[in-house]
Amino acid sequence: MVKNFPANTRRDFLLRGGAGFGALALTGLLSRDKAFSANHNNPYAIKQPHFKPTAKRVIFLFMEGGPSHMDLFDPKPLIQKLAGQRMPESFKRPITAMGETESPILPSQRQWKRHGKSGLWVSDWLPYTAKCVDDIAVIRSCWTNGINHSGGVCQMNSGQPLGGRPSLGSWVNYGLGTENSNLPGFVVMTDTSATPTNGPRNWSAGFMPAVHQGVRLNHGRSPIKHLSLPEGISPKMRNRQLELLHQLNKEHLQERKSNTQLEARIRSYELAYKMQAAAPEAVDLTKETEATKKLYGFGNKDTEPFGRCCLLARRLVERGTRFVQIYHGAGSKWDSHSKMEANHSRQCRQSDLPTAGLLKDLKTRGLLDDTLVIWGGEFGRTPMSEKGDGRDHNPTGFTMWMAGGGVKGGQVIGATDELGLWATKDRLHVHDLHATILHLLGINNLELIYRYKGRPENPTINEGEAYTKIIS
Amino acid sequence: MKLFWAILTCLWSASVLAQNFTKNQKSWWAFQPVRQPTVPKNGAKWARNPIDHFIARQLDGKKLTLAKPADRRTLIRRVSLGLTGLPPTPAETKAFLKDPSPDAYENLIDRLLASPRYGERQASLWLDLVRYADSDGYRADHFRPEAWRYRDYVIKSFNTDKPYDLFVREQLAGDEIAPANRDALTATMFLRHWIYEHNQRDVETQWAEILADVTNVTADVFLGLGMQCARCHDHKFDPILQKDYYRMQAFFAPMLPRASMPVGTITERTAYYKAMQHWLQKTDTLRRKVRAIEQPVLLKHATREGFDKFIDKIKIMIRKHPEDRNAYERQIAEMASRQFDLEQSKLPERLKGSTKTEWEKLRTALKSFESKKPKPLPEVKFVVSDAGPIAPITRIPKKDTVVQPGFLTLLDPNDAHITAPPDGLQSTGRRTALAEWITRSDNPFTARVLVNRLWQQHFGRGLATNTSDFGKLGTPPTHPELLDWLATRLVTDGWSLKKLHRLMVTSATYRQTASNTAAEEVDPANIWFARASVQRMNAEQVRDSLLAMAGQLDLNEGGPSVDAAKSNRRSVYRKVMRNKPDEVMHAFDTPDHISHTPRRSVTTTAIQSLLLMNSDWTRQRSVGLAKRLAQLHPNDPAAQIRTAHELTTGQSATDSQLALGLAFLAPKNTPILASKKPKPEVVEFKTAKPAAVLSPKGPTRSLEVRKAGPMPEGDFTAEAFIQLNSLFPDASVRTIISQWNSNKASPGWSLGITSTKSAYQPRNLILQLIGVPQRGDYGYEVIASDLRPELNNPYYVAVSLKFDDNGAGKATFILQDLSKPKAPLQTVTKPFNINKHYVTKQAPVIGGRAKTQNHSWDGLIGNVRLTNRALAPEETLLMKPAAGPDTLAHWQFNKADFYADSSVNKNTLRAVGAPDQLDPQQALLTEYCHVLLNANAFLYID
Repeated sequence: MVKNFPANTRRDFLLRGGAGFGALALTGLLSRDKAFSANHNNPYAIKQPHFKPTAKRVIFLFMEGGPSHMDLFDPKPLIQKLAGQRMPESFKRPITAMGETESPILPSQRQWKRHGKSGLWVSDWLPYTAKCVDDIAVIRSCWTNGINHSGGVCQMNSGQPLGGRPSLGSWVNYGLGTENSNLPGFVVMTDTSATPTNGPRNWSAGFMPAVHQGVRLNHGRSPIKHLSLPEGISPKMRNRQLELLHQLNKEHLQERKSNTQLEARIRSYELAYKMQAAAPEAVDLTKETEATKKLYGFGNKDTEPFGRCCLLARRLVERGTRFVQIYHGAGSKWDSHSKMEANHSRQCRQSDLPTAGLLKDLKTRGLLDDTLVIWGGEFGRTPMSEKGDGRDHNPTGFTMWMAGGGVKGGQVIGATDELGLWATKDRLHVHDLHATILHLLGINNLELIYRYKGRPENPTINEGEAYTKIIS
Repeated sequence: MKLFWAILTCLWSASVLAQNFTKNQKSWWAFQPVRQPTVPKNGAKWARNPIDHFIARQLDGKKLTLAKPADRRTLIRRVSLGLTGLPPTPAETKAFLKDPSPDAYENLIDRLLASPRYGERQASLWLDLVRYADSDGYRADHFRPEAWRYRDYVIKSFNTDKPYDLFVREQLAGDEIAPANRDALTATMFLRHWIYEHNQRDVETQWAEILADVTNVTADVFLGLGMQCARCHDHKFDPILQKDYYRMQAFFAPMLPRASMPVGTITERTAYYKAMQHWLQKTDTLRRKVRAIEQPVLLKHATREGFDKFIDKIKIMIRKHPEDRNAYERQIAEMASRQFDLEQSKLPERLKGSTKTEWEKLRTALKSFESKKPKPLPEVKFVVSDAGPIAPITRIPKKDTVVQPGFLTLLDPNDAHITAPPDGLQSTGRRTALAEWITRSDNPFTARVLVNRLWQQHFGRGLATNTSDFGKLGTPPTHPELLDWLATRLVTDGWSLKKLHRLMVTSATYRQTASNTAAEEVDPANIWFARASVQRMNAEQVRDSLLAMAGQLDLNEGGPSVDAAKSNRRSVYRKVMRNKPDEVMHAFDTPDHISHTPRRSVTTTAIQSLLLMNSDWTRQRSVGLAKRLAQLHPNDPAAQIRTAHELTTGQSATDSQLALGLAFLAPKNTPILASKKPKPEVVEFKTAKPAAVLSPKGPTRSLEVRKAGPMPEGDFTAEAFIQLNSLFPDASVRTIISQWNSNKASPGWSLGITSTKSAYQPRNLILQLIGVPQRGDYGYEVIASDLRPELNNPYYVAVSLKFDDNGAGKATFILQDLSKPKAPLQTVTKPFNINKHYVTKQAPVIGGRAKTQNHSWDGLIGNVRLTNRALAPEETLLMKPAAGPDTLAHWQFNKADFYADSSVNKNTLRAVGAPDQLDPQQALLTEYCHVLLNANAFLYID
């Protein structure tokens, strides 16, 4: 189950396999039922997972900046009781970003209720998500190493706080291939035009070939860069150019028939051409009904930006995009070192309804069964206050949730201590979370290997264990 | 006694070997000494140098024969791109083709190796290895204003053919081995290219990561050993112990990143150190007293990230007097202190009462010693030194085992022998010891690793495929003897890289063609080098070649880094911002510059093709190339095609390529480009009336009448619906409609709105009227209405001119806000001077003026009407929107018939594009060039 594709072996494969001219690029022709090893030469080709998956695709709703778990999904009566006091000595002190270890405990101002048949706790900040709890598995015991946004966001994407490794979306596309090569397999969106912490590195393919990197959809009329013809070039002129290019490349190839790179490049222009046609259709929301749009919060300036991303995500996964990541609060907007109430009220108002809308829409269309939806940020927040009315970063215990894709809804996984500071029961490190996500997709995290500098690399850096009880 | 210890050490090391390493591990090729193989006799008929004999032996064994020698055109392109990163110019190719000398090729190589372009190309490859960047990485990705000096150091080192062993020593320990040499100090920036998080409160972990990074990159770059595997455990496959990882790290343990570092000979440094010590001793008590007063206040008010956020352990280290800190405390305290600034200047206001009096007294006392302080030496910035002569302890984490600096246990189980440098340097000498071990002529890795990298550069793949991992996870070399022969040769050639390059590229193996049918069957991966490997240009080659094709490449050398998107300098000089990679470079697989990259991916993606076909950046290269061709061969498509092929591929155009080109450039194809004419954008005003979108940035700048019918000759009215988006920053006019070429000596008229620096106030609706003084007119005159339309709001505007018998008259301006249903009609009448000879043959222009790109509109213009008399208020477009008998022209911009004039005069419009619109044939040539710049023959090197 070791895969890599230096040009030489790819060429090797094609020649030995008897497939000649044109074969590499013709994704469809490379049979989809071969095992990984036989099919590793075409980065786009669909590959067999390690075992039967429950999820085929992922939508990751990234609440960037760190949502407060103890004000959303993980109620802590003790913080009400100790309001204004120092954290008891019995609690181990973490290193935090702002050094707020000894600041007074900040109580939660939320109203808490149990919801759904499962009776999961959700605060009044998320009234719409609360209605979907029976589809959601709330993981209260997440932890990470990155104490700052950069390290945290980087780790939640790539497994380690330092950069340089492929993002989870890249691993998934590398491991499973793409179902529609006319669309990017890994798409990233942001609710505003702001750039998330770390920028494109979050969806970078790291040491893998760039074909696996995430493509950020732009705001505005041309969502993928350079997708539209330059000003003044008519489709007729472009066709003539592509024809000439094809003729020239064909002639060039005549004397270099064994070079599959050249053939692949010829094909890449066809792909580009197809993408020019396919992508605008995929992101064209005019075909959606008013009812659907309303479900995602269109028509309301608070909910529409994120709702638009969520609706686009549904359209993309319907069309075969493997991994969609949407940043809500791009640029650390969930970061609430002060004025927690105002901050989280706004963030929740913007994201809650579209999130629930997405879950409902996916469910109605039968897509939720094999689409995994993930919600969470790079870390949580501390019970200790900051600046009187805010909370510091908490990497040692926080909440994420997963829904769909085989996840058993209505369950709570793990727990934090009485203050919500440290994850205590069924602790799931980011590597474990990634392993769990990969497991749902039918991938064993330690067996998905990419050889880099001769070393076998895997998505969770030799660590991580899937929490298999998440499956219904 | 000595002997006893020696025996004991031997026994001990033998036991270490016995315990830890299998026979298999010990016999692994990369750990064996470099041999000096005899050059085989194979290939005597065709071999040009010993490389070929080694290659020939393997070919003979496989019953393969070398491909034919490549022709000169192929060769000069291959080797120019290979050595200098740039394609040859047609003149260079021509000279090479004509050179009758038997050494023509060798002379070419010498010329290329002597070119400054050589160092630039080699540096761009080296920078990947050392994870060079101009920014910190992480969230803030702060710019590193000094990093470029390292890049220039590398370029200079390659260009002057600095011996590789010296190059290595300077980068690892330049501060210790040549403290007076600015270049050698700059070289230590090699130890500064790690990513850095400016506000990381976990200072110790960040420091541990930095040390790990430096250890890893050193092992990767110079030794080709994947040591990072051994950071957490003994290497699973290779004989690298976890202990060895930390023995290696111990060389760097005393390292201190420095904002700046003095430059001086040992004598100068020693004198300075002694004088400084003297001064410090003399002032010790005073300074401690001052610090005791100042420090609490300074830290309390520390700016930026502040002081309070650190944990107590770190706070203590920061508070500690610098002279009391041990090396580790100094490292951590200084790392932490980078996160805040202390406001020394605010102390006088922050200190109060008796403390302040005491402080002032102490300061005065201290000042009397100021003159005795030694004069600082000149400095270099952003480098490293050691934190002091005593190194911090290195421990294996979790095991708490203390280790001393040392090399791989397999090769030498003893602690490294360290010679302390002179006191004046205040350094441990550890890095020098490491550098010396790495550059020993019998080090089994260093020369092999380098030779193999250069082989990869020229032949597409290393003799050992994994150029930075010679361990078991890599692949053993296909030609081990050749590798060793070259490694030996490198050392005997005094570590000269130019000689090594020359040896490789003058071999017959290098000079063969890429085509060898028999070999392709048997050896598809070209393991045995029976043909040249076709290589795609790397990102630098793509970008630099595109600029060179366009005649736009700026060959200035050195200096601070530039923004690749905005500069035409060579790619090696670009700013490498880790979080914002340049788009073109990134699309062609530049790495992320976070860790060492021994070999770039070569990807082929649709995104790449979209970028090459559709991005404005690549388009500008096509425009440049087409311009060049048109200048060289005006109106000669065949010659243009020939030169275009020559430039982009290095080859002469074949007959079929010529035919394809001629067919593409046939004048009959220009109509396809009719739509290259800016396609006008039509939108609707808020009033639901169609309007043309006009903007200086295009696509449509203005609309002009192709063949004008009758135009105003006396009284007239000009009307339009407008919405203006912006003003010019200067005094230019946003023109609504005109019949004028902007020349104050030429007759005409122009209705418009004034801009920011206008003498008539900004946003003033004006009519410029220009008569002919020679015929008794007043001449150029501005009639300002003082009606001031707002930006981004729709209006109806009109001016009607009524001349009196003398030829002077009155201009009536009308302005109505269309956004408010009941907005009043504003009317103003202004007199003007005699200017009756304003009549011109200049065709009217909407949204601009004739023969200039200046004074153009930015926003919407709709429903424009010219009438051959002064209309009364009740006759305006607002009241009578249809064309009347005196209507000269009426343009309504309906989507279906955008350019049409609905009056009887049929003044059909045409769009005028953004600046630099090309003529149709030139535009066609540009599109042709664009194809060539996308072609495989351009992007790949045979």
